[in-house]
Order: sequence, then structure tokens, then C-alpha cells
Amino acid sequence: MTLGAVLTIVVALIFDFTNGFHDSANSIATVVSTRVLSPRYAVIWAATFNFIAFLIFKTAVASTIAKGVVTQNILTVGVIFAGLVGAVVWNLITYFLALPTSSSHALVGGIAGAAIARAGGHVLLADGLRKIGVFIVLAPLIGLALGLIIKMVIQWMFFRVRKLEALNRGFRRGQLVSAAAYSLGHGGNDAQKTMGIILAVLIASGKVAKNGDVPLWVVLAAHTAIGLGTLMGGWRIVKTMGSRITRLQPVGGMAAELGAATTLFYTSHAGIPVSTTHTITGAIVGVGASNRLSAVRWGVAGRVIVAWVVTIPGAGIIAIIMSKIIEGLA
Amino acid sequence: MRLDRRVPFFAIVAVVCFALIPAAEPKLRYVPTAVGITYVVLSVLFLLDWLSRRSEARKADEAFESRT
Repeated sequence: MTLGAVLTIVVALIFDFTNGFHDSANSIATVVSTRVLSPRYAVIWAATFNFIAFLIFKTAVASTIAKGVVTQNILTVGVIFAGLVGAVVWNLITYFLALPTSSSHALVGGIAGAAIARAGGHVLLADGLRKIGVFIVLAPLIGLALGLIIKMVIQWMFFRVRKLEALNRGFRRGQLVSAAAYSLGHGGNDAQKTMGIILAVLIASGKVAKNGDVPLWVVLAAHTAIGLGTLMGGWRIVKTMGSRITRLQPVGGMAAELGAATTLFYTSHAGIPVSTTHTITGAIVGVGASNRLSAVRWGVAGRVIVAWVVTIPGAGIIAIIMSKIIEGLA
Repeated sequence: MRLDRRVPFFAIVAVVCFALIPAAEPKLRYVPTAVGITYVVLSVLFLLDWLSRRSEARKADEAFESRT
């Protein structure tokens, strides 16, 4: 394997680590703020389920990233590297702009942009991009509907219960399950995007056949990277947990996590890369909307919509520039 | 009594879902269809809820007026 291929795999794993680092708050915020688990155990809980997701999900999302965005013969190590750097740079820019963009969409935009820079627009695969594009919008809407429905079903089931203390105790235990389910879905969908990149590098280097599956070491490396990212990101959050996260109700947290987890389970099974952050945001909006629409912080929802529109073109443009720089250096 | 804002919101989301059907892969078109139908149902349920609350509020007003 060439040095470029090894470097690209290392960058892909760093990308995966930062994904876990960024998204750890989504997995553990509710269980910590409702004091179901101490921060230390919450972080370990989420990271463990991030890691063991490989036992549950196949690698359909990885195949979509590696084989469903652009034609495979254009995917050289240079193109993949330029695409990956485009995604990373875009993520850094939007991190400083506090725009809730999706790493997954940035990755797709980066790969597409780098491929266009190399060979033109005809290398894009319409079917794969359609599938991803439609679910950019649909995944948060599915999460929203499920979060709302689960919250309302729970309310209807327990509205006669007077012993609120006992009820809250039950939901606290339920949150352990919902947080685990969300962490499984997060690990399953997001780690596979890195697997897809590494698979594309291995195919481009001739180490894996064009129709080959993801090797086990790639699966384990990707899940380890995202699990470690969650572990490290969680520790960062633990420090600021007391001041920055408001107190949440166990019922709402559980409904949102279950809604998002169900969406992620389905999309991972169907091989669709989606934004885990946008999905949980949609589910939280759904839980808020079960009370009243004004309970929803529409500013955040609006920023998610802006992120939908600008991420793929933004990461694509950076990848095109990166691709030209690499061509110039070569 | 003002219309519950969730009614038009869910109706608009349903329209968005239905608009995505032609763009979706043929084998996955059932997803935006099912999600769109779910939002139509939610919109109708919240409309019925609002109508029943409005009717109850009117009855309460009438009962109050007849007493006074």
C-alpha cells in the first residue's frame, strides 16, 4: 500500500474519532442531566454501544459511500484524500460558525467535489446521490414524527398515574435502554461512513476487489475510533455538564432517543448515510411539539435547514480546491 | 380560539414529504409516502383536538352566560 493510501486511512480514522468526539453529547446528555448515570458511567455506556454496533449492523452504509456516490474507476487515493480533507475543512469552518452541519453530508459533498474536479460531473451516480439527498430531509422528519408519537403514546398510557416518583423511576431505567439504542444507531451509521472511505481506498489500491466486502479490521478500526472519540468528547462534556445543560425530563429524553434510534436503525439497515445529529434534533423538536409548537426552539431548526442546503456544495467546493492543489503538487 | 399551529405545520411537512416521492429511489418511495401519510394523520388529529377544545370552550362560555 502506498504512503498516500496509509495517510488517507489515518485521516479517515481521525475524522471518525472527531465524529464521536462531537456527537458524544447527543448520546449522554439526557442520562447525565436526569442523573440516571454518573458522567463517568454515561460516557463508558455510550462508547461501549458505539463500539458493539458492528455486531448488529451490516456494512450497507459503507458500500453506499464507497460505491454509490461516484463511479468507482474515478476513485483514486488522491480523489478520496481531497474529498476527505474537503469534509474536514468544512466541518472546522462550520464548527467555528456554530452551524449544525452534518459530517456525513460533508463527506458526500467532499467526495463528489473531488471527483468532479478530476473528471467532470458525469462521474456522479444519480441513484446514490438521490437516495442520500432525499434522506437529508427525510431523516429529521422521521425522527420528529417518531419522537412526537412516542411521547404522546407514553403520555396517554400513563396520564392516570398519580405516583409520579415511581413513574419517573421507571423512565430513568428506560433511558438506559434508549441511550444505549441511540448510541448503537450512532455507531452503526456514522462508523460505516469511515469504513466506506477506507473501503474505497483499499479498492483504489487494489487490496480489495471492486465488489468486495469491508474487511473485519476496517470494521473494528472504525468502531474503535468512534468509540474512543465518544469517550474523549464525553470527558470534555463532563467538565461543563453542570453549567451548560439544562435539566431534562426523563420521559422526553427517552422518547427523543427512541425516535432517533429507530430512524438510525432503519437507515443503517437500508444503507442510507444520514446525519445522526439532525435526526436527534428532529426527534427533540417532535418531543417539544407534543406540548406546543412554541416550545420548539425554531432558531435551531432553522439553522439545521441552512445546514442542509449549504453543506454538500460547501464541502464540494473545498474538495475541488484541494483537488486542484494536489494536482498542482503532483 | 386561534387554530393550533401544529395543524398547518404538519400539513406543510406532509406536502414536503409527498414532494420528495418522485425524487426518491423507486424501491424506497414507500418511505416518503408513509411519512407523508403519518403527517397528514397527525395534522387531522390535532385539527380534531382543536375543534373539540373550541367546542368545549364555547359550551363553557354559553353556560357561564346563561348563569349570569
